[in-house]
Amino acid sequence: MSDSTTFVGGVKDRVTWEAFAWCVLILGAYFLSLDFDRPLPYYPPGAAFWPHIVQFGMAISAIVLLVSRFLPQTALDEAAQTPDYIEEAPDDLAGITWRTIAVFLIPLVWVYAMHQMGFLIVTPFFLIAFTWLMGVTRWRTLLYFGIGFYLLLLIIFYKLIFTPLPMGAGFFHTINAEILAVLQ
Amino acid sequence: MEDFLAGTALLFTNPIGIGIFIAGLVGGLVFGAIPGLNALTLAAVLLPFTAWIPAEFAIMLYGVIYVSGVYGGAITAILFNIPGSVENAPTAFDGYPMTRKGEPSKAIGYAVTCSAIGGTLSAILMMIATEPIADFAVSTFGPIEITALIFFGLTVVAGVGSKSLAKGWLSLGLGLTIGVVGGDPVGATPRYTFGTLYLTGGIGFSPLILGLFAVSEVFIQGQRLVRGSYKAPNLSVSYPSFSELWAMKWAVVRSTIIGWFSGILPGVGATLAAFLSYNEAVRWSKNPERFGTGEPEGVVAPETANNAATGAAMIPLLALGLPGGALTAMMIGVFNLHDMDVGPLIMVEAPELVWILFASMFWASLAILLLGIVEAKGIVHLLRIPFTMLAPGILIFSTIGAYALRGNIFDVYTMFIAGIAGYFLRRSDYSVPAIVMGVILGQIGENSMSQALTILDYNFWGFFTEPVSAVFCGVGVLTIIWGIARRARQFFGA
Repeated sequence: MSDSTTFVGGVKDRVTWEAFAWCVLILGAYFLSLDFDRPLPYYPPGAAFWPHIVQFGMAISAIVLLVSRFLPQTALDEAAQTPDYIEEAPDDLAGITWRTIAVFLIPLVWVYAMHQMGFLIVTPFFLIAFTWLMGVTRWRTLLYFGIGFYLLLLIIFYKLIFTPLPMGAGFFHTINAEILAVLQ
Repeated sequence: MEDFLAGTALLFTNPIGIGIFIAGLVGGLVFGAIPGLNALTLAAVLLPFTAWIPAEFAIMLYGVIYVSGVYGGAITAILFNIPGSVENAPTAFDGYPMTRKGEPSKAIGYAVTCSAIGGTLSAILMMIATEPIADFAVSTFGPIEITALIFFGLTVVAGVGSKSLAKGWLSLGLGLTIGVVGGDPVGATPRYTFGTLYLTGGIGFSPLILGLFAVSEVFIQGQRLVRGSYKAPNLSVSYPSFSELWAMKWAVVRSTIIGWFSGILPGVGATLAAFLSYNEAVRWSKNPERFGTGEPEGVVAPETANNAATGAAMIPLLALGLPGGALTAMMIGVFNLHDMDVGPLIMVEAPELVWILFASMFWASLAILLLGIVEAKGIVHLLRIPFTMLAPGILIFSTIGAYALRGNIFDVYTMFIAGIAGYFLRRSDYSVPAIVMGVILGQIGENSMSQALTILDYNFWGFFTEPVSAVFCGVGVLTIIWGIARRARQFFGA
């Protein structure tokens, strides 16, 4: 496993940044809660009472996290290890390539395209693109897998259990509806 | 006993009854295993059609779907880190790490055996003690006690899944904060909704779970694949031995009791049963640090409890007419469709209907054991599919699961945002189980706390003057102190 200290300079730096991020989140949540911090007719503590309890607890935890920055390095290293079963998780951001970014990006593009163009139209492209990104490079395999899996999805979700899936907007909605009519 | 045999005879001497029993069993298993399309979906779809089948078979169908659906969701939780239903989420905490360690069959074996034991014990208890237990539970556990119970649960949750106590508490706080989004439980005042209609109903729990577990897992493994550091899990198809199962006996007994009592409490049900049982497994374990890394007891506890809750949920339903959750509420709908009211008189007015329900739930639990043993050795071969092809499949199934529940594309966006957040949180040793438990326990906890405070005239000390509540609060405070002392010893070597 690569050394986790490589993330932002060192475990102590990382802990500081994390504590800082938590403080921003807690303060942000607190200030936003002022919008609804007023007594309710049948519940005087009001709707912000519970969120404030949570924020108080989180603030104490963030302070403890920050204080842990000053604890002995060895103990901190030990406590900052990732769980055993994900110990090979990629920690080192120095090795970022366009492919590592694409692992996040392609699904997001797919969801946005699905929103606009419908599930039926964009899913085959996503299937092929993501499988290729994962390392399947033979076009025949990609094509067979993409089409086969897509047909399986159509059978399960459109023929057997009639699951409503995104239909897209405008012109694409019409096309999706036409395809759906043929399928069903 | 005679009533039980009569119910069994009624069930298995009629071909229609047998057909409905098998259909419910398979339907519950399949729907329970598809993320987002849980047994509740199947029950909702079938509700109008139950008007055309005899009342005893209609109500039996719902009992069987309930039992098998709760188990079905464990399979995908263990194999792919995709909990089929909310009550199976804690099963993924240790079930999936067991798969990563090459022990998927063992994890499924534990899940199926303990689901069957939990369900069967629950069915037996249901048959012998419906009325007295319902009276005790409903009269003893009010909002004050439930609030104290949740507080105690939260104190345990913070120690799960992270090696740093502060990070465990922060993870829990994040979960509690996510649970706050939407209308407050008293006046439905919008909180953190930013004026959008989508957030008014709160952040969907299914998209959140799918994102934190399934999507973040695809991102983690996907990153490894593109960097060339991916290691496929070794597959073994070994079922847990009798001695391994026997070693879990106290976990099973404890989880059955927790599941049973949680199931009885109206509005609590199988979800809280699974989470509380997991918490207790951690608390009683000699090696709590192993939880979250593939500890078999982490599979045994929630699966026993969520199945034990199914039988218990019938008790307030039949004895008092109080549904414990959505599926039991639908069962009231089935009774109503057949011009019957549930309540104390149902045992007198329609005993054959009640006993066919009891018998069907008992036999469904045993059937799960037989089906599950076969399944444990067969279904794990799905893992032989290369991750290169599994990854897009997991994303697509998760997306469908997130979308299909409410038909809202923003649930899919929520899922992916949760997935990206889960990826970074897991990398930094924050506890995903604590986040998830924070959401579910926080929502139940705030609701009961607001009722409890009204009863106690807004006096917090009241939680320490009610006996049951005082015990839970006291043990909760001790758990916090014990957790701090344990971490302090680690740091300072005292």
